[in-house]
Amino acid sequence: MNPFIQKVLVGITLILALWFLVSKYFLPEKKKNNKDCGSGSCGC
Amino acid sequence: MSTTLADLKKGETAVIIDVSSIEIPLKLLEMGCLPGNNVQLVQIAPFSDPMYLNINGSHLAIRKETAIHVLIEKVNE
Amino acid sequence: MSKQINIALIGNPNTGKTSVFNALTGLNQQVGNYPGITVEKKEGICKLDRNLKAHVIDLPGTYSLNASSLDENVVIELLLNKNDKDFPDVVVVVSDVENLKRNLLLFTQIKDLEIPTILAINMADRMDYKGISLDIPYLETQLKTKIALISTRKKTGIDDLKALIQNYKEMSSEPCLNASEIDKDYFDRLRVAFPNQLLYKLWLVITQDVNFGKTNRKEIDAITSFKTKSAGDLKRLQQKETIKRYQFINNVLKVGQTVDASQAKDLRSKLDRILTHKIFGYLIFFLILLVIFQAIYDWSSVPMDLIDTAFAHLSEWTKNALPAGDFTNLLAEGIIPGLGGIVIFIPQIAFLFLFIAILEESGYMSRVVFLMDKIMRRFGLSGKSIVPLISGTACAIPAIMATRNIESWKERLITILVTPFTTCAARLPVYLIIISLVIPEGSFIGISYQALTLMLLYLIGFGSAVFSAYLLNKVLNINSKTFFVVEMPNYKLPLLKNVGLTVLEKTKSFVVGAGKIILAISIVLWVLASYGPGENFNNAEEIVTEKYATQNLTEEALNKKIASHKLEHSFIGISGRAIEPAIRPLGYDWKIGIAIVSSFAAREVFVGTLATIYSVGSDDEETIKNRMAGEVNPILGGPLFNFASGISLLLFYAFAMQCMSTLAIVKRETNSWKWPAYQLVVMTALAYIVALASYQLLK
Repeated sequence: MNPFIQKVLVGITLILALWFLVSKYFLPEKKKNNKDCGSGSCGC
Repeated sequence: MSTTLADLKKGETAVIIDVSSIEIPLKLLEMGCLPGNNVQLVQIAPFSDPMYLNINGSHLAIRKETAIHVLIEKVNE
Repeated sequence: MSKQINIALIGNPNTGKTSVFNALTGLNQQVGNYPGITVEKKEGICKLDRNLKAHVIDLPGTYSLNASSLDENVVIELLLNKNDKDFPDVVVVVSDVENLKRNLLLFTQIKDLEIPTILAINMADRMDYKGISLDIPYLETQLKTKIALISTRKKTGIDDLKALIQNYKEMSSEPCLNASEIDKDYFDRLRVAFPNQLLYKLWLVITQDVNFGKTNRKEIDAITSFKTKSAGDLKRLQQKETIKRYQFINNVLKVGQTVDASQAKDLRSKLDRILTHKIFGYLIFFLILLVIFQAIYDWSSVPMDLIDTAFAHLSEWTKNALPAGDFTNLLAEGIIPGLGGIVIFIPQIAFLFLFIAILEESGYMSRVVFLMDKIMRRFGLSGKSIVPLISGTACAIPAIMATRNIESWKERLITILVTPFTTCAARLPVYLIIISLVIPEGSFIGISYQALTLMLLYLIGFGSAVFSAYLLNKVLNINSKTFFVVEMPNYKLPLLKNVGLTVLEKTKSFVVGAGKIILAISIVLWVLASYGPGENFNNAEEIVTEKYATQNLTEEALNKKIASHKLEHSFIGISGRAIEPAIRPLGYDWKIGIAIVSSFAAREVFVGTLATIYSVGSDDEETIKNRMAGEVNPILGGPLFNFASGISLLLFYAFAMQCMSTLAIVKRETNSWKWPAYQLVVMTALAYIVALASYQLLK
């Protein structure tokens, strides 16, 4: 297999991995249900 | 002088007289802690906290700080 | 074309609701999340007959529709929202025959929402044992429902339940209680204002402050603006409602249920007397813990070795079978070892969750919570923190998820923040290799120094968790109402099916949760370690060959030297060198620096990275050890891995927050960036200081 193709595959895998990590950590937080904050059972 | 649930000793039975609706969460009432129901102390942990109770057939444990808001009358065998 | 209906399983905790769910759905079930909140959504499919399927949701256990926590909230939000795609066509309330009185409270509330409701009375096999007999027809008439007597243990009654579900259209949807009895005036006014709505439903919306999402917003606003009563008043009315419901229930059960106390056998009291005893209770608990840890250690070593070998072989095979090149190397040296690093922990984690599931199913765990609560509270934790802390010795991820049942937000937050201090399974490879390198032979009262050091590290982990909890408790200024209730269920023999499914689920959460991140980071790290800038890297072969030209090395040895040179000048090698000044006072050199940096992905990567650094082709422990033993400290001249630097490294790993996956979970469970950020900074700083101090003192 052409070494160039191999390098390309590595590049693609790397981009996928980075994209996954970024989306996991930096995705905007989903809107929370705002109930029961008084009883302290949520994260506020 | 009123007796509270916190004063109950191991093995003793009592009847619940009043439950402060402000201090006691609704959940505890819904689990059976209501005026007129029986309560018995099954076991108490070291340092008398929490208390393992049999309230109206429900076996549960609550902290002493909750128990002091339940007024009871001890039943003499 | 088969039709599908929605069924909701609702009931008190400890009624065997999960067993009913498992009996109905078998393996056709999945666990997900409700959007936006950290509550598990359990659903599955049950085939009722040729033309009818049921989508079953196992809702979180609750004692009443009046929710006091996020997961109880899920129940009421579903039942009040007719437009939800999961809104049930029929509800099955699962109750337990010994706590029927209390279980019926929830039942009557649901009935009053005029949804067809079936009453499933579980644990019917215990009726004789407890001298209980029920007049089913009477109960069915009074409660206006159909009853299925089930025993999930003996596997009876499930077919009856399915038959009742199939005929759900014939069920009465009459309410049990007349809601206006709570306060006639108020409800009359409500009825006039909202003539098309169920009175009880209105009452729930007013008292609960429910969030419906996008639908019905205007309607809800109109209702909530009817809040003409104060919070205190509403609460008193709720109390009145509860009393009325119990009056109704008591009257029904007076005739419908008879208990012959003389027949009743009471295993619970007998066991409780010993298991919650002031002294024996604790002794027995610690003994059980010891047995569990010993078993996990023993049982998992064989599968772990097998997995290790299997992945090593797979890696080699890949390298040979696929055409040589960068991508093949990525597969063989990055991805496969990365996956192997995850899979190898499955035995340990699965065994730990097996034991915890058994303890919970049997009912014993509630007694542990009872015994430990007061002690835990001294440190700002709850008795319910014990399960997360123990689970943390396998993996912090499912441990942190297990904190969801802690009622007080402060106690829950503290538990989440300190759990990563406990010695998780991933630290073990690091500990073991360093210990075998620097801890001398010999023993103290029969236990080797090496084993003692390991035990000490576990104690340090647990101790620092508890101590930091103590500090956090003093420092954090959060006001949260602590309301602690733990039900003490009957002791029962754990059902294999339930335990098995729980273990499967929790192990999956580790593999999927941590696994994806570790794999992604392994890929990134491999790339950073395999490529480097500049001449030094690109011309590695020439440089190294020239350097050793006079030494007449074998091809294999030369290749290893080349690999080592390449690593040194790769991106990651450069970053290791860059942080070297910072870590030299701890007794490390840049090679260890690389390993520390890369183990930020997952601690277990440390050993693998060391293998590469010391130019060992495989992860053969003995060879790595010998290599490491031979390393020379560039400044002092003596061995690099001596007692001082070894201890320093051990302590660094004991305190460092190095698992990205854990940070991700903490962010999710606390819904903010703040807390994982604090953890990272504080724990890394702590690890640095302790390692520094120990090296400087011991060298």
